[in-house]
Amino acid sequence: MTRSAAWIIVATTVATLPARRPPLQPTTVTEYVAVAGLDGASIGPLRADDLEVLSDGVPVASTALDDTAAPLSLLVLIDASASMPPTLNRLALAKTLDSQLFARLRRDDRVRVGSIASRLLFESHFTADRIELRASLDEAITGNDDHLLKPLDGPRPIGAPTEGHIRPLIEGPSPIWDGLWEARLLLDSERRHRTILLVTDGKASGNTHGFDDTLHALALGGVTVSVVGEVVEAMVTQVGGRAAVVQPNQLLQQLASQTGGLFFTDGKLLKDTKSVDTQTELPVSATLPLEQILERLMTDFQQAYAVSFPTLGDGEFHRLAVRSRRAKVVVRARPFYFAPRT
Amino acid sequence: MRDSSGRLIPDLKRDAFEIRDNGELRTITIFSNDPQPITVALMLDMSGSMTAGFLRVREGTLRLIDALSPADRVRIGSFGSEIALSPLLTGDKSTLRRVALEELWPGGTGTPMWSAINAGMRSLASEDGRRVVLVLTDGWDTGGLSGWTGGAAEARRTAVLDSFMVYAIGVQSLLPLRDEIVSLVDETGGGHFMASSTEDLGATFARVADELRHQYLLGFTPAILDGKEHKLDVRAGRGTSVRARKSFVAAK
Repeated sequence: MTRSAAWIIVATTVATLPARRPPLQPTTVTEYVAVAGLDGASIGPLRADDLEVLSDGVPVASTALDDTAAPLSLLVLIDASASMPPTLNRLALAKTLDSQLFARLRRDDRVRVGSIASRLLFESHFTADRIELRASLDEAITGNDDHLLKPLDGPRPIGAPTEGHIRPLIEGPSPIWDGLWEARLLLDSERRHRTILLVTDGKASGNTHGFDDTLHALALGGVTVSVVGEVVEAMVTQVGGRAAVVQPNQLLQQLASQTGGLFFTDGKLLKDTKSVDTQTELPVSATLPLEQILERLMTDFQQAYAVSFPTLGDGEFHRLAVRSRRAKVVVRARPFYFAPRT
Repeated sequence: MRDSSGRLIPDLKRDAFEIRDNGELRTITIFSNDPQPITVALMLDMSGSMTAGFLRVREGTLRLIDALSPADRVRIGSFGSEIALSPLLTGDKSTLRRVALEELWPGGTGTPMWSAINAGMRSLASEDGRRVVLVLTDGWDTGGLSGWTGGAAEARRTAVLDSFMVYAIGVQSLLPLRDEIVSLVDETGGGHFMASSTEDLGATFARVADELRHQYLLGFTPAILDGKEHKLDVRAGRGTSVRARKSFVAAK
C-alpha cells in the first residue's frame, strides 16, 4: 500500500465517526413544594434536612431550602363562557374570590386576572392593588373588556361577525388550553412561586393548542395549576344501548396532579389515583363550601418553599418525590421536574 | 352528477353539459372532472336533543377524518349553548382527531343552527376555491346567540354572493329537515341526507366527502356583467341528476 492510499483510508474513517457531544454539566434545579401540617396549617420555618428529595427514585445528595415561604405570583383565570353551569352565581364567585384570595395577599405577593370567553383577556400587569384586582375580576367573570382587561393581540374569534367592536362573547368557544398557554407565558418573567388558579367547567373548545402540548409547556415552565371546577359529569344513554361518559373533570384532574396543584370540584378535593408517592397524598376533604376551598387554596399557595438541588443538565424530565422527615407534615410537589441542558 | 339509480357519474365529458344563464345557453370555457380537494367547515349540533346520538356523531366525525385525502382541509365546529369553531383549518388527521375527542360536548341548551351556518361561512371567507359548510343536526333552529349574528336570509345571501356550498345531514329526528335548510342546500348545489337513528354516520359523511371530491368544475362567461343575481341552470344527459347552484352574481 502506498503512503497516499493509507492517508485516504484514515481520512474516510475519521469522517464517518459521529460527532462527539460535550459531556453533560451539572446544574441546580429549584422546585417549589407545598408544605403544611396535617390540618393544613402553616408549619413555620423549615430546615433543609426536614425534607428528602428523590430524583428518579434516588435520594439527592444535598439540597438547599429557603426557610420562609416564597412570594407568590398568582394568575387567576376565570372561564366566563356560556357552558359554565347556569346555577353558578357569578357575583358571589367574584365576592368570594376577593375575600379569600385578594384579602389575604402578603406584602410581596402579586396577582393578575384573566378571562376565558371567546377571546382571551388579561389584566396588563401583576399587582397587589386589591381594588384594581376586584374590578378586573368583575370584568373577567362577565367576560367583559370594559376597562382593565385587554384582549391579546390576534384575530377575532373564528367565524365571529366582522363589523364593529367585538365584545368577548360568552356564547363563543372556551379556549381553556390556550388560556393556560398564554398564562404560562405571562408568568414566565416572574422569578418566584408561579401558580395559576383556574375556575372552569372544563368544556374546552376552540383551542389552537391541545391539552397534551399545554400540559407539557406548563411542566417545562415549572408552573403549578390548581383548579376549582364547576364540573358536571354525566353518563348518557346512547341510541342502541351504549353509554357515553362525559367527563370534563378528567383532564382537569390530570392538569392539577401533573403540575403539583389541587383540584376541587363540587366542593370536594379530587385525588389523582395514579399518585406515585402515597406519603404526599392529602386527605380527601368532605364537601366544602367555596369560601373554605379558596381559603385552603390560598393557604396552600402561600406555603410553598423553594427547594434547590443538584442534577445533570440533560434537557430531560425526571421523576420527583419530596418527603417530609418531620412528623405530621405533608409535602406536595410536582411529580416531574425538568433539568435544562447546560 | 348521479345516474338514475343515484350513483355518481365521474367520467362525463364537456359536451355532455349545458349551462344556461338567465335562460340563455352559454359556452363552457372551463371544464375539469379531476378529483377536487375539499375545504369544509363541519358544524355539529351539540344541543340537548342530540345527546343520545353523541357517540355516533363523534365516531362519524372520526371516520370522516380517516377518509380525508392529503389535500383536503376541515375545520370542526359545534353549536348548542355556544358556537365553537376550531381555529385550525387543516388536513392533519392527528390534529383533527384531537379536536374531535377533546372539544365536543353534548347537552347544549339551544340549537342556533343558522348562526352556526353563518359562522361556518365566515370562518372560510378568506379561503380560495370551493368552500363548503357541512351541518349535521336533528332539528330546527331555536334562535341565535348574543353576538353571533345571521339568520336564514343572511345565510342565503352570503352563500349566493360568495359561492358557498351547503350540505346538510339530518339525524335522529322524527321530522325531516326544515324546508329552509333544504332550500339553501338546493340553491347552493349541495346535498341533503337523512340518517336514521341506527345508520352509520361515518358512511354518510364519507359519501358526502366522495361526492364533493368528484364534482365537475364548469366555467363560462356570463351573458352580461351587471352585478345582479342571475338564474343558473345546469343540465346533463337524460337519466342523470345534476346538483348545481341555482343562481350566481354576475360581478361587474
